[in-house]
Amino acid sequence: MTARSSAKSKAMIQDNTRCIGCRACMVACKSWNDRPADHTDFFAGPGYQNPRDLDANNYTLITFNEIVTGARPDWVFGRQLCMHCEQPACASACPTTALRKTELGPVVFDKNRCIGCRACMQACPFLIPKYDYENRAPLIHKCTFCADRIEAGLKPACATVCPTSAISFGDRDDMIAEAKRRIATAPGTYIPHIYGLDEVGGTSVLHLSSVPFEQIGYVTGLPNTPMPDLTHRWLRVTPHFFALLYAVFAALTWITHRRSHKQVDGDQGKTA
Amino acid sequence: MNWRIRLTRWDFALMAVTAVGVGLAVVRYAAGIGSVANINNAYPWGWWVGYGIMMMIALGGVGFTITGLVEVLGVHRYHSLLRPAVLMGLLCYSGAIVMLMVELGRPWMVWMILVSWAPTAALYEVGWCAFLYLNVLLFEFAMVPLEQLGWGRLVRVMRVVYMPLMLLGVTLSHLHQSSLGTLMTLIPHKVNVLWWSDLLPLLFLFSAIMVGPALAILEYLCAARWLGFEPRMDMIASLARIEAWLVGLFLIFQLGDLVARGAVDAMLSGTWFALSFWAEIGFGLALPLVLLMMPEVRQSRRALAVACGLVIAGVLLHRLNVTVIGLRVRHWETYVPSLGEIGITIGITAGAMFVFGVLARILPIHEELASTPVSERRAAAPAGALRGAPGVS
Amino acid sequence: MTNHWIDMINADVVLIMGGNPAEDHPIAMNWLSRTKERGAYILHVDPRFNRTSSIADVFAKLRSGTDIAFVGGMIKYAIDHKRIQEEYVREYTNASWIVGDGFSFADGLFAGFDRAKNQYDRSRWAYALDAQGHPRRDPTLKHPRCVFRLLEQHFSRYDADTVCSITGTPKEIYLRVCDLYTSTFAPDRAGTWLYAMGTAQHSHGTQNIRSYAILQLLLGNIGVAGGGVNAMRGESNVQGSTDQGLNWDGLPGYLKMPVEADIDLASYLKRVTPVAANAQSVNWLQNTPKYMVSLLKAWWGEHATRENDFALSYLPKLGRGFEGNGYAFLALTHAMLAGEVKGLFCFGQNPAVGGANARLVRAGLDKLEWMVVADLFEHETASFWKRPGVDPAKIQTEVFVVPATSGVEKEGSIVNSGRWAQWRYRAVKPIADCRPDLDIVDGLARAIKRAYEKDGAFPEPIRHLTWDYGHEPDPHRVAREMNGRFLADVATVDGTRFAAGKQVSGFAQLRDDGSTMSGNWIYCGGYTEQGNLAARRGMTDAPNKIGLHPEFAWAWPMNRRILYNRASVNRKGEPFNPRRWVIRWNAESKTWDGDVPDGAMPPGEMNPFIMLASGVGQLYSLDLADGPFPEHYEPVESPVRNLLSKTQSSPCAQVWRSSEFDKYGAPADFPIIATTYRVSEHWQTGAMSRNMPWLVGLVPHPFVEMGTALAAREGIKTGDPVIVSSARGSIEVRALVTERFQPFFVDGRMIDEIGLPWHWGYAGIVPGDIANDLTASVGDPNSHIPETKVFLCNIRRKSSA
Repeated sequence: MTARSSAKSKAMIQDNTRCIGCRACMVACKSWNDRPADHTDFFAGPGYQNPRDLDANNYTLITFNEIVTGARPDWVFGRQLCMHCEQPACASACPTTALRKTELGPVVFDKNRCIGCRACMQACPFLIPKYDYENRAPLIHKCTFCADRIEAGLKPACATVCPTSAISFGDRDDMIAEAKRRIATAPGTYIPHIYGLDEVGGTSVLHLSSVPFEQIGYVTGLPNTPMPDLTHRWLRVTPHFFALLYAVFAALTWITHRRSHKQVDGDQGKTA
Repeated sequence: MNWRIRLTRWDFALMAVTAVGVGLAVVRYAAGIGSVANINNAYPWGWWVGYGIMMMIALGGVGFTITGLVEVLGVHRYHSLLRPAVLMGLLCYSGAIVMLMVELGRPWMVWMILVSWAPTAALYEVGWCAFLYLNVLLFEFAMVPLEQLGWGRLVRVMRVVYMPLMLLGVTLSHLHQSSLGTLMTLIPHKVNVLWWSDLLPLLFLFSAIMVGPALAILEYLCAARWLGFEPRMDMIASLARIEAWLVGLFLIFQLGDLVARGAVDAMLSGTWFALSFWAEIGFGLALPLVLLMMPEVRQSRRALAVACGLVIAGVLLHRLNVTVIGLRVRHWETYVPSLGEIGITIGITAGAMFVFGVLARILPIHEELASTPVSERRAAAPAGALRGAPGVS
Repeated sequence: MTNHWIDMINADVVLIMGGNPAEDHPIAMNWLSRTKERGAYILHVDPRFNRTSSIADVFAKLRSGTDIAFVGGMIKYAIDHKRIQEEYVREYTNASWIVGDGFSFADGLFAGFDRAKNQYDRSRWAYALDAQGHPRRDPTLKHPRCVFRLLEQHFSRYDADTVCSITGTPKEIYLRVCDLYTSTFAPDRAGTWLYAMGTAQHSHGTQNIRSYAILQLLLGNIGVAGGGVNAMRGESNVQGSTDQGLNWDGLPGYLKMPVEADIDLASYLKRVTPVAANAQSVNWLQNTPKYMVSLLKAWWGEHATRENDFALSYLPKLGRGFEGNGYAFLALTHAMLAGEVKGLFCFGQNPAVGGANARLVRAGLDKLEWMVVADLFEHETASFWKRPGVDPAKIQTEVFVVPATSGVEKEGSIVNSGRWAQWRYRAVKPIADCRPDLDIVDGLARAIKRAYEKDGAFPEPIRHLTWDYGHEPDPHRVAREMNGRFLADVATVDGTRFAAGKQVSGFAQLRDDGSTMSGNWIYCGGYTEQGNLAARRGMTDAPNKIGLHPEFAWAWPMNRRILYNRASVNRKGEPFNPRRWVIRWNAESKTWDGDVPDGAMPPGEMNPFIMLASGVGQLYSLDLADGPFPEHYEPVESPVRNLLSKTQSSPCAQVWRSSEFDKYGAPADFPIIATTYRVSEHWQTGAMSRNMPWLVGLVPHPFVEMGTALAAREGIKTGDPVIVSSARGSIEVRALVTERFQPFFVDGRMIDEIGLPWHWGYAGIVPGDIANDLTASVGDPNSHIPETKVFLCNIRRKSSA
């Protein structure tokens, strides 16, 4: 299910004040995950954005956001990728445990267990898992946090190629401390909010921004409670519910049948 | 068993529609879901889940509601509705399974649910419960043809375990009908405030219970018309009164939940969401409630059928609202069911109706059709699940 | 660069002038990121708000081609607000030198302009000389004819209102830039100036750079950590290519090509060897004869002797060029068009797309008898003969395509903008029969030598050429030759002996008597008896901890990382900024600590700019063809009049008119300014990147960026196909409407500017129209670089009919 992250858990900082929108991360990700190229026509989103959204071939995406304040234009870049939640809704919703949170932090996908129900897609509050509907044997596609690279002691592909150190990678506690430090030392630069620190119970990807997150394509308004808690409070009473109902129905059945039996016996004098 | 039935043109029509659905399913398997369906990354669940799973399983609840009414609560005057209800339940659940085989991306792996341990996943619970309940329904219904085929000894053995299994079935139904709602509690930020509730499991359970008698009444009236027997309006009318109560209570429950969650503003806003909401409440609950409260409606075959049809449509719209229409995900992505999606579900529905129609003519599903008096032990003895007819033990 | 990439972390203010490092040098942004973290200000001056602007503290919009107005105003601001590092300016620049009476300036022209030839007689600008023939000086800087006063007077016309009326920059932003940047005049503050093609590709591009140099000298920012005039070079090894003398008018090590008038070695050396302006000038280039003779010895070995002037006659001499216009790109392409060029070797270049006035270039290719293309893909130049709209049967050019290897498929070195030569190894084997350039050239050279063994006109230069890089050509042998070695046993004055065959350890060991050879004197010291220093990867920083990393790779000259660093200390050898010192005099060891000193002489009278004959930084310069001071002129194609003077555009600009493709547009027909630039995702002409599906997926088709007001007037929405036209042609691209490209308020009215990335052509996975079809054959008079960064155009929505 959802293992609470261990002390060894890794995390990533996505610092959008350093991001220059070069998209080396997108290309490195496609390279490492062997994703095919997109056949695009023009730009699919604001500015140079391509494609419009994450999809089965793009596990990470830079969003281009033109924000005009008064007469001054500004260009702020955001990044979409799996947040590798501490308590992932996708893993909790998966009926075959094909998705699970690992000790080092990544939420990994075992394609050999997937039945393609797409409950994870519905469940994810960040709208991350994507599907290749054109495939006869389709699979869920999302950022893997380069779990294989992390296990080998390397950094994820995106963190490795980012030229401006907009992407930092390390132990989760260190990354949280670093994110707080950056906000504290340059308050005019950052919105005082670490996206992913508390949302949905905390995630492994922490975003920093110079403008409010909803202006750069992030899902906002999420509660701080882990999403699985919402179903958990119902599902955990399943066995109790089962036992209670069964007992009640059995009792009712016995009572009503006794009455009808008495009636019948009374009528006919003998049972069948 | 009366093998010598004549297939009418309606049978052939249903077979044709089913064949179209099969053809579309073949395309789906050959060329991927995207070749027939409009579901996309923003809306991974669409018409297939909304109608084919959520609604069909809700309709399949006719099995446990009528069984509960007759067997658990002991209201035997409705016993003639029992076999049709069980058969409908069986066909609805089977239909939902067929839908699942088309809807899942990798249906050949569906057995993986049975060998996994995923107690946090609502779908896991739904899957297991539905699987077990399907077997219970099969068991319950199997006694009918088995008896007709002369397997009396087996049937007697089955009758012994009938009671605990029947109870299991009713209990399981409560669990998975509510779990369908639990499924959607996971996404409060995606579902419009008009439909998301922390009480969604109870709402779904309640609506399943509500739709059971409505479907049973509708089926009874249709069977009377198509199979040619005189419907017992007094029985049906009294069930319709119960139904009126169910609809009324559900309406209060749903509105009360909305008010408690502060959704009154949303109800009164001029959005498409509000429109769909009022259609659901108005045509699916308020109007049939009013109709069902009127004795002349309850005594009228046509009016009653319409009223029950409205309840069913209302539940369908409710389920669609919660799982599809009420979702706001990406403002640049929309979803409208494709003809392929609708074609497959219509095919499944037609197939189920066809099978029901054939079985209703082959087997003694409807007591009212029993023409020749037979020994008390046999023909009139409702099979296994259906004992307890007045005067028969 | 005078400094280097990592040195940016030492800057207090970074000004990026029309450059776009975020998109064009993204790795460098790492250092800019860190310098921002330390609290530095990033100022971005550009026509368009681009990805670099997104991380800048101040974005100042600038109309293309008006850099000199902008910077001239900053010079005036610095002088008016006394933001001058006085000791530095007085001691280390020619501010105090007195200019002769021949110099004057009026109506936009300097003295000595010959209208018939469009040239200046530079002798009119000479200094006033004293009895010894040295320029007279006034250290108080009060003499009305001293350089500083003339500078002040020249830029007194560049007040903020006038400047902003020319550049279209909002005045309060302009003043903020001036204020922030000139704050680096303080000795403990440094400002670095970054630029690239946005500066260079203009009809006054060289003077653009001059203006930056002047400002940096006034602020004392040359030779210090975090300072400098820093060109972000445009190709991964363009620094290497200019170092090796691949330009038509240069020899390796920036030595000069001989001209027809150099009838012998003595007259050549007399012409090219500078004479010190005074006794305080080290004038290092007085050693030119040693470097030139060593070069000739490298090329012709034992066949270069004192008797035959070390085979100087074997070198071709520069004439006046094609039609008297030199041999630079514009002249070459016009000559090709006129049928004067038989054959072309085109190595790693794609002029059919990348050349100015590209339709002219392609028409010129049609006239060649043969062409050899060495590249990774069959790009537009290689396939010019079958391009759209052309009948291959009518083209008589025989085209040879030699498949080359990319940087990761061969061993060798490249040099970055900071002059760091980095040795690289082969990571993957080349596919099929692709060959490194070294192998290709080596094969060609040996075949040519074999052919010339039999016969040929004037065969000696080829026959006698030393050419031995191994049976399998070995880049190490080339590198060793570049460094150079002793050809005979040599004993120096102090008794040190060097054996023949040993590598030299620095250019100070080179001699003009034929006893040494060196293929490139500035690379002396890079491959010594210690080994291949460019291959070093030592991570330790120098004790002054300013990011020099002297053991990582090897920088020319002599691993000196910051040029002119003698200007960072006073006459006693004490750093002006002790907190961030580059070098400092160690009185005990009597040596310099820190970076390799630019001039090892002890502190004292000798001046720090040892590579200049004057020895000091040039606020006033005699070296450029178009003026001793920069002066703002409008680009050759401009929609507005010059607000500063009556001379509309640069009087010396090379404006070609000889062919049918040399047409120029009037503002009435082409009222919109156009510029060209790049995106991160594509590289140059797209020869590689448009064959890379992932990159094509990100940016598939050519587009034009335009402002919202212009788009609204023309009824254009993002994604619409539009036609952009100039006097030279028209192209179809997709529109991208954005707030980031706003019109300029110039001379009382709004002028629109649009921008075109120029990466597309008819080859590759995704073809697209060629932006350079619109640019003109206009050249800078000094560098001859084309003015591709500004021209006039018009735009309209393509009708769907």
